[in-house]
Amino acid sequence: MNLGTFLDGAVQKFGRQPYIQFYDETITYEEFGKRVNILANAMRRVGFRKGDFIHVLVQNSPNTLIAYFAIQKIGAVAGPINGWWKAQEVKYLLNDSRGRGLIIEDQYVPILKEIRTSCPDLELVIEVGESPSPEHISFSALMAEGDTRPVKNEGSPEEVACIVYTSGTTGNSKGVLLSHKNVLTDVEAVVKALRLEKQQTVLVFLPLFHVNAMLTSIFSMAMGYRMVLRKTFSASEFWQVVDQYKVNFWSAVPAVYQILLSDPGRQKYDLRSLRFGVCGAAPLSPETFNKFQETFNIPIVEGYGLTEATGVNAINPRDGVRKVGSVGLPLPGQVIKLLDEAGREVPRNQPGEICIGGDVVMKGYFNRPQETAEVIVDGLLHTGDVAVMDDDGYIFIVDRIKEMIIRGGENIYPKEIDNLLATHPKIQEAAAVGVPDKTMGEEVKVFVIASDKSLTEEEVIDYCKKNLASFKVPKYVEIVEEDFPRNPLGKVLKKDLKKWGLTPRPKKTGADEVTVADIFGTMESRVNPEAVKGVTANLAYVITGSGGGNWTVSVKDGAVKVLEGIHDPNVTATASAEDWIGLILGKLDGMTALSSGRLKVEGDLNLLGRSNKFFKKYTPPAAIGEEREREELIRLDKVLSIPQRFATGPVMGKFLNGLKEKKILANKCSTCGRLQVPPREICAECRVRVTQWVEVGPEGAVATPDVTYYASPDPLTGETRETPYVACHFLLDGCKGHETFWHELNPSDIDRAKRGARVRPVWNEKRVGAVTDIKYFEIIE
Amino acid sequence: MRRNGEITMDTATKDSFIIEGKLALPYQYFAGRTGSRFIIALRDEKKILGVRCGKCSKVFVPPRSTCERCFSNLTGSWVELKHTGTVTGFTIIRYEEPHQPLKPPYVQALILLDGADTPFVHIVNGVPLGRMKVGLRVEAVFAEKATRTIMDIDHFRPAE
Repeated sequence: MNLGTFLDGAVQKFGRQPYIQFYDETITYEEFGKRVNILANAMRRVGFRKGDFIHVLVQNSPNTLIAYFAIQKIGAVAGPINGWWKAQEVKYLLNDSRGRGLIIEDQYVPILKEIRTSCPDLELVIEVGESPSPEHISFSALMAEGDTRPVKNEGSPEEVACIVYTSGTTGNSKGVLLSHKNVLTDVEAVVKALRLEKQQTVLVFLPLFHVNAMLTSIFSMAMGYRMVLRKTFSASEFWQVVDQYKVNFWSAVPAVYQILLSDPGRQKYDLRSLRFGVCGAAPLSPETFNKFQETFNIPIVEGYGLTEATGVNAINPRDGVRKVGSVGLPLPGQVIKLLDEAGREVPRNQPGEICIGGDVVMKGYFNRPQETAEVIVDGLLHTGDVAVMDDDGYIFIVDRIKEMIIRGGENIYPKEIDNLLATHPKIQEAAAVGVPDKTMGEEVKVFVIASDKSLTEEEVIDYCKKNLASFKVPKYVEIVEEDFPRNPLGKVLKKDLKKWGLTPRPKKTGADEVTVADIFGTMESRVNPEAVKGVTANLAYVITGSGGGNWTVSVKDGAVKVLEGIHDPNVTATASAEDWIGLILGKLDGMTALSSGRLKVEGDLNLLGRSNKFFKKYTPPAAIGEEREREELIRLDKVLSIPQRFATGPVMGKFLNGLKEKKILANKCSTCGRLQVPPREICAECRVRVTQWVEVGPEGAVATPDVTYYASPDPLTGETRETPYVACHFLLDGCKGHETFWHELNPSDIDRAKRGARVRPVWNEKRVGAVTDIKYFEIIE
Repeated sequence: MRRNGEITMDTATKDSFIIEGKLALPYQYFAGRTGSRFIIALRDEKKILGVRCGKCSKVFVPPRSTCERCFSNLTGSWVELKHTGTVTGFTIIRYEEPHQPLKPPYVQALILLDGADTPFVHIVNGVPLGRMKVGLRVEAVFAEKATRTIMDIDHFRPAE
């Protein structure tokens, strides 16, 4: 069976029963099957073929599912696109998958317009909407063709059914290839695990571009359920929808439960139809878990899964023991092992990496054999999640090996934010981490080291808003003065950064706040001898509020003592600590304070007035620090440029001149026969002059690759080349052993840089007789 | 394409050629607190500052933070010097190398400013080389554009 024949079976079995309830529109299984056939026939007619990658960027609607299934029917590969992605992210996806087709809803067309010219592999675009652009194929026109002849997918279940991109990051995002068998195996396991009964109504509001909602729509089809489909989650309509359609269950992410709990609107509605709610994508807090069950008297069934393993891999039993904080038991038919670093299974209650085996493990990442080989080892998918399994086999997630942030169920790779912010002209470096959040599970906080002191938090946020999907925009920004915690190699230690959390870093200078105690404590050292000459009086101060206290300034014939407490005052001044500091720093005017009653005076007001001159100006500790900082120190940064000449000599000259003609010349020792490339005057082994020349290559193979992760800036231009890049010893054809040639490899071949990979040189158009006439070598497909 | 076919070496010099390039030499110079004050005074106030050691009663120019004779701390004991002084020694530079401040030939001299006890090196300009001599009276000419170096004094010229 494949997903095409699976649909045929459901249509036959459930015929006139409703499948989709989309607002006022009801679509039966029969009608759904018919529409899928129409679209499949039409798509074939416009030129789509088996195996094509066809992306779908359509918000939740019956058309989204019709598109998915029509693609399955013609044996093509469905590639859902995250509707929150911005143009650059969509461009990356389209160029990574090199998909031929795109079914797009009109609301997303502006995104496409922005990137259309830079997506050369995209051939056919079908637009869903009322008035599609003339350069696109109209979805409704295709549906109007009305060719309902059944389309049968004869393909094997092992074929790829969909390509789902893991997250919206350029560089990190990978296309997960799932086969028909993957999907159908997982669907069967979910049905078994949840012990689903017949005749249910399921509510789907999570986006259909995620595997979670996709699977829900498919297992609903397996069971003949009615699926109430909504465009998006909306708290305001939620309970009314549950009541109106007598919803039995749904699948949600923790944030949804959090929002529903805080919404009092439910009381108007009849919610007796509810059986349970599924929760996945991120850990649910025990607090929410318990409160929700108490309030609604229905269980939350928490599960766990990842796209690479088709979406659902563990779940709590619906009516058996559900353990708070656990993601439950492995799904029937799936293998979950917790392995230590050496790949050995850990004992119960010991942490280990979750590794998943069985028919749900993806076919691999598209076009990324190395990354695939890294995560699928001996048939087990290494998830990067660390968990413990208790004595009953329940799985508790402990930590993530990877530093991914999960915000309200959406995966965010902090590296993407870091890389983006590093391109901001005022930012030297940024590091994003997840910080705990009650509603979203995690929120993004980014620590920033500014290269320009005028940088503001708003600028950081704005820059992110402009360039990232909104769910990835950091909620918290902190511009720090100190360096990030780093390992000896300079890599930022995100774990330690995470510990910094939401508490702002202590400031280096000006950190000492002005305190009332400091004002009185420094008074004796600030006495102005001239002004207190001949004065004898006690001035009392009652400072209220936090940081306040009572002080008496006792002046005896010019000698000043500051005492704690009130001692025989001639005048008593009363003010709050805040106002008192304001008065001392000159931020609050004395007369204003008096007339407004913020400063109260009993006794000799005149004495208090004169006392201003008794003391020199108070300098807050912070200001002293600033003073020091303002001292200018001369530092000269210079780059001397010294002319130099390199004379090639006849041997190197001949080699370099050869490059102009796309020839790679080696010289050959007549004694030992060894080749040298680039050539040298003398054989390094035999110490004899080398006179024979041979042409080698230009193709060859990688002998030793070397990846460079750090490049220092060119002192003359200040430019730093992009890292990582790869240099290799190449063994050119005609050479053997150590007769290798050192050059660069095409940076985009970095993942395939392996010993033995075949390469050819990429020559510059303009060649000047330099080794850089070869731009780099590239790997031959 | 010819592969592994032998090509005879051309020993004529036509295979040799020359590549012109540039070598970069980045460096940083920190003037320190005392040195910075000296340069900033030159730049902003056109004042030549020195320090006086109270113990040895010597005035040092350029200023330093420690007395070279008695190791007293001289920080903050600033004195201002006149713009005039006397040449106590000199040399004529006649060879050329990159990064010289002037085109040779030019004169570098030790100049003892009036009020100072140590001479310092600077350029003397405006004197025919034949008439350059020890004991010549000179005065400082300040640079029009700040360089944030001792070259904020552009050169010394014969005093009126």
